Amino acid sequence: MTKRMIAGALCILTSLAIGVFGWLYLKNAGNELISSAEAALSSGDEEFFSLAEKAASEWDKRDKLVGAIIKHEEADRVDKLYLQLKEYIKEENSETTAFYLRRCVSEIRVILMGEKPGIENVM
Amino acid sequence: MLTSLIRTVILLFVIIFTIRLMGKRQIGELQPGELVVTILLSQIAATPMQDVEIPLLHSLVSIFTLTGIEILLSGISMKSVKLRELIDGRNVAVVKDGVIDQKKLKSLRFTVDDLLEGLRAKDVFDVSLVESAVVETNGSLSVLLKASELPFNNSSAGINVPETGIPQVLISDGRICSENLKNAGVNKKQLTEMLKKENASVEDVFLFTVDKTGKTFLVKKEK
Repeated sequence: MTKRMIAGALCILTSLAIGVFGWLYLKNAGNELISSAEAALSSGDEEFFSLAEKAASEWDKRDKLVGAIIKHEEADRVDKLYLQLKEYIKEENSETTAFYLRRCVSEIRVILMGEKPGIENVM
Repeated sequence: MLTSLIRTVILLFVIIFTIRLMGKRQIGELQPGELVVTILLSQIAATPMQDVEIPLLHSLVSIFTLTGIEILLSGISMKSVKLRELIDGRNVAVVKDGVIDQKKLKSLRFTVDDLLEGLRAKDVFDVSLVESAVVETNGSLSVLLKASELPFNNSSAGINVPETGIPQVLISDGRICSENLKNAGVNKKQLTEMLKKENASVEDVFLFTVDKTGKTFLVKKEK
């Protein structure tokens, strides 16, 4: 019986660990993605495209794990936005690049709000 | 498509693992709490199999949480009668001293037809033969017949019969079951002698059993 109880406790601990790690990783990754995009948006003309490129590469570093945590539909949406962003960076179109950076920021903010383990989402 | 296949295989093994972890009671006699967990588990596993948009991690977390809580609750309820009653309810005697308790039947929302059906399932077709009937927590009906209606057996006749135990299968479809040989306390030499008496070899035997008293039963393979 004790062995089985330990197995039960391990099951709950595993779930708890996945849940806590998932949320913390997502929060961390989301905040970094937002701050890198905002850094690009608030930079001057000289640095703008290099910082925008850096912001886009931040997503490439995290897309797999973030994609495993959030709904795949949401991850696909962000993926699409970053792909479009990269295309406009290549074209050096500052207005559209800024527009897509803002869209990436708002999309990530919405995801973070949706995944937050607060009363609004639990209920 | 390939994603669905991989997800289905993963979920199948996870569900088999968790059901095994919860124990054999899950399969045989489901108590109310266990029934709820089993239904939830099957639903949680089935949805992400069909919908690849749902992250597998979400389902795994739910499956492991449910399994963990079920195991802990069943473990604690083994020691706490109150918790056991809270989760699984308690059994109710609907026939006591040969009298049907109509109030209890009503409280269980059991009709007379349900009671008669339950009795028939136990091969009892006449309510007047019943001394006691109890609706168990898993919904099944347990029946005790009146002493005068209990079947006649060796014990009531005062005859002492040796215990035969469960017959051990020593040979199954031409193969020796080594584990059962040990259980029956028979070695290979003794087995060969037994087969010699029956004029058979291991390869010819479809089924060969032996019980505690040494009584054997042999079925040869059809040619």
